Amino acid sequence: MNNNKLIVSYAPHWHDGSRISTRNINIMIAAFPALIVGVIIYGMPALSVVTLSIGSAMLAELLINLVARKELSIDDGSAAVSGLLLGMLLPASAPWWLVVIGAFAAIIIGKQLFGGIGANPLNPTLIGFAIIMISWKGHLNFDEALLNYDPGFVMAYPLAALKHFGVAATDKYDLMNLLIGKQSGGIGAVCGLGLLIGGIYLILRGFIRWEISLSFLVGVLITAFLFNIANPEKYASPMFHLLTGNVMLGAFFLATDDTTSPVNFIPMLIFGLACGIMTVLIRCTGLYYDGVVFAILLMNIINPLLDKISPKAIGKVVENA
Amino acid sequence: MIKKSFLGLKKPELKYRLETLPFEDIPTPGEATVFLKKPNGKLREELFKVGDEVKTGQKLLFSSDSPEYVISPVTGKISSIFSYSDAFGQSYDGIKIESNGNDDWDDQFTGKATLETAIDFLEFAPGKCSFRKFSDTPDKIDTIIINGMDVDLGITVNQEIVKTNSSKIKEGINSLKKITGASNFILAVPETLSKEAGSAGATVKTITATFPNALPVMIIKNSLDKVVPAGKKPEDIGVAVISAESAVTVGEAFATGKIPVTKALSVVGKDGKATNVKARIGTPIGDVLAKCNVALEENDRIILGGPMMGTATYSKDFPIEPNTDAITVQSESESAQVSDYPCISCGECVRICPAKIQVNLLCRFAEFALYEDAERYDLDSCIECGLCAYVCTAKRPLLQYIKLAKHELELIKLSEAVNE
Repeated sequence: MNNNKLIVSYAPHWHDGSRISTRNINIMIAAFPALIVGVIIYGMPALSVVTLSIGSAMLAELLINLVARKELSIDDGSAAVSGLLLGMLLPASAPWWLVVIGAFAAIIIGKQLFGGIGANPLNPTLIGFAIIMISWKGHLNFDEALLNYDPGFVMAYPLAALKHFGVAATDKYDLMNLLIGKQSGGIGAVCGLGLLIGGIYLILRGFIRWEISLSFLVGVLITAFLFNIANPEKYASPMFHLLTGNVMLGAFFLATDDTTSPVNFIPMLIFGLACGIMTVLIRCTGLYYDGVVFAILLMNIINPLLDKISPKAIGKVVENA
Repeated sequence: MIKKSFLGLKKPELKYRLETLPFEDIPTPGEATVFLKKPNGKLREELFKVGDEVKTGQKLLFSSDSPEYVISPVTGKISSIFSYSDAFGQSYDGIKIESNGNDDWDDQFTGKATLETAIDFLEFAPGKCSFRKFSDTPDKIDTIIINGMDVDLGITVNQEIVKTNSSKIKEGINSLKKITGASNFILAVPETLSKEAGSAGATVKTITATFPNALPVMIIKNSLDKVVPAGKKPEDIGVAVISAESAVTVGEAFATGKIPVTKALSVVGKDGKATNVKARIGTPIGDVLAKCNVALEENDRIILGGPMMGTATYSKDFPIEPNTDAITVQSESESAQVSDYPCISCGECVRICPAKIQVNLLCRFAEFALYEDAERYDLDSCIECGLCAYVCTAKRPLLQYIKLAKHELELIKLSEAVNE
């Protein structure tokens, strides 16, 4: 017999072939339907915002890798996903410097300062977005920012209209139009239908957890319903809340981020539900038009506590019980 | 290797192989190797040396007062003695015995059916069942579960034994009854073998043929509705799990007065095709593979055991040991590759863990040598099935971290005990 070199490794010797990069590529694929609708509505500026955001995020990741002398990690796709999602949240009119600052803040402050992938307590995309949203309010006020667009449907930001003029102002929005993306908002956030298709794709492929997405939507619906029956003049219908702002994007793409969401069944339900409830609470009683960003960031902070609700391990002996 | 299905929402199910195959005999090797465990810090007494003649079934003792021994599987001359240490740093004396082609049986083993005889002579028998637990356990073991399935994937040794040899299992049960005093015998088999198992004289329990249901702790949980407390062994709750092969071995040894020296094992090739063979303990793996027409190439892996829990070895000269249930050969492209990427908390491991451990947190502690913290996260509940690392998105060597933590904790406890 000839003498071949053998490889020694540790059990298990099988792997199901899943990879972080596969996961992230699929998230990007799932974002396409909503993104395409956004680009059709807002044209080339929208595309340039999204691509600039992806590019800046990857560049930030690369620079940090080089500065920290760590192994290059841009090939896992997580920086690209963060950049893509940031681009989807932004209006098509966002100036280039705003996009670059947002993407750099997302990757450097949101992720790498904590130690890179897997170590960030808060969703990097939302950190980046929250920082530019608070710092440059005007650029992220959709009514101001998208003033020069006239795509042929009502261009007033639905949630702003609701906040300032009450439910009466929402009559001009047709739910069907909101669903297919005929509304003002972030590039990738306007088309609820596209996000739904992408979300269902991700759930079926097992890349995101249905528990979080579903309970998020249920949380929004229930809370909005309660507000609505309490005061129908002031608070909009549940479906209006569901299809406007960033709810669909949040439920399927932002709240489901691996590192910042719980992994056990009950905590996932609580997490999603609380995200939904907080979203509507911020919308109805808070200062901001949309509450998705802050609702998810808040729940990200609580996430480690939620994951303490874990099933008892087999044979675990509970002391002092 | 079974990959994740396109629709990944459903948890992956790894099925045991259920088609059984008859055993083919592998001829007695020219040279057999056995490993004699070295107790910590002790020197071997010169009870045997290179050039000594040994008989088949002869006991080779480490020292006159140590319980460690091996049984010579062939008749011949000791050709060399060398040092060997395994993956966890345990050292052994490797003893090579050149066979002379005949079998002269040693007559020390009388075949008297007592527990002492079993402890003295059958610890190294095929199946490597430890009989010491029956005398060591303060509370009596009253239930013996005979595992009619192999714990790992792709192996059909015990199933084949149940299928064709249930009368010998019955013999084994009778012997076990006599020597251990256990009264309750359960034969755990897959659905397909429940008919054949009926004649073995034990209560038949069927187990779902999905990994890791054939692991001792899982069998106890599913068929007895008892839970083994974390960090304890089945014998601590009065249950012993032994393989069908071990039961047959015991029966045969006491019936014939000879210590069995032939191990039954499955050989699974790179294409997943299996052959069941019977080979002398000590036969080099290379001989068995050659007989089964499994060709080796550069960068292949030879795994002793199955793909989920087996140990890879670096040499085809490594011998068949009493507990080698299978040889699985994998090509480089089929093998799992690991990385030192950080955990991204996707939770796949947590949701698939049959012991419901928070694997993501546990392994973070283990990775950074915080073993005591790892212990607080249910390290002791782990049944070491390897499913967590199988599904890990970041390809982290999770089972390795867990075993490392267990090993290091053992060392810490050992040194604490010495210092006191």
